[in-house]
Amino acid sequence: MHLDICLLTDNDLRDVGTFDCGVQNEPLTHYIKGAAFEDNRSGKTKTYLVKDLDKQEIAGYFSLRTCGFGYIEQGTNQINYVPAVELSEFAIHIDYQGQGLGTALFLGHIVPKVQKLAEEFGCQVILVYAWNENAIKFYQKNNFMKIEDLGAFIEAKDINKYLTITDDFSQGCNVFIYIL
Amino acid sequence: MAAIEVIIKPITSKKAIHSIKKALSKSSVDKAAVEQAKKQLASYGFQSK
Repeated sequence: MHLDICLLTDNDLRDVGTFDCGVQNEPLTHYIKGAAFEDNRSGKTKTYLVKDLDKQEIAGYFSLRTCGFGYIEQGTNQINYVPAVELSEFAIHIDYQGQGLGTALFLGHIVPKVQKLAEEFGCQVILVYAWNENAIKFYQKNNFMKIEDLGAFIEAKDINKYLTITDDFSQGCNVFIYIL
Repeated sequence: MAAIEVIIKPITSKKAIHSIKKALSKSSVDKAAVEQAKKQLASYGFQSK
């Protein structure tokens, strides 16, 4: 297997057509065939394709975007903000799963990439939202910490509206952080 | 103004405050594992740019 990792472009539309990361990860299969292109163009996320040059197919992909989270110490109004990069999508083609490729990509490429970014811009953690059991196991195996384990949290979509926060965001979703 | 996604984390106890501050002060990065992963990618012909 010979790999290359490159930024998604509109020329990749045909190549992603056969990508399949399994039933459990169906939203990730759909994402790379549709919304990833628009998100890439608009700058909402940047998606990188992992190409198997021997088979001329997509072995996996991941998307990155900036984000952050904050916490408030009781009795103060000050938000302690933690700048982060979100690994918003991370998928391995079903034919390449179970070979350690996900771990190799995360530790050998994504972590160094974000560390390099963090040398120039403030960034303390890599953050992921994990929805299924396999993803949760993967992140736990790779030293991620479940953020809820550090205390209850609530989410605001807009920092200017943080007083109208809902408190049930965490149901059904697990937020993990990897500290740089 | 562009929306900014923020998770607000209300800390309600000194223990929890200590917990998150302590967590953020310790890196998750296992340097040996990172080097091993880079070698694995290199064995696939991939070179970090």
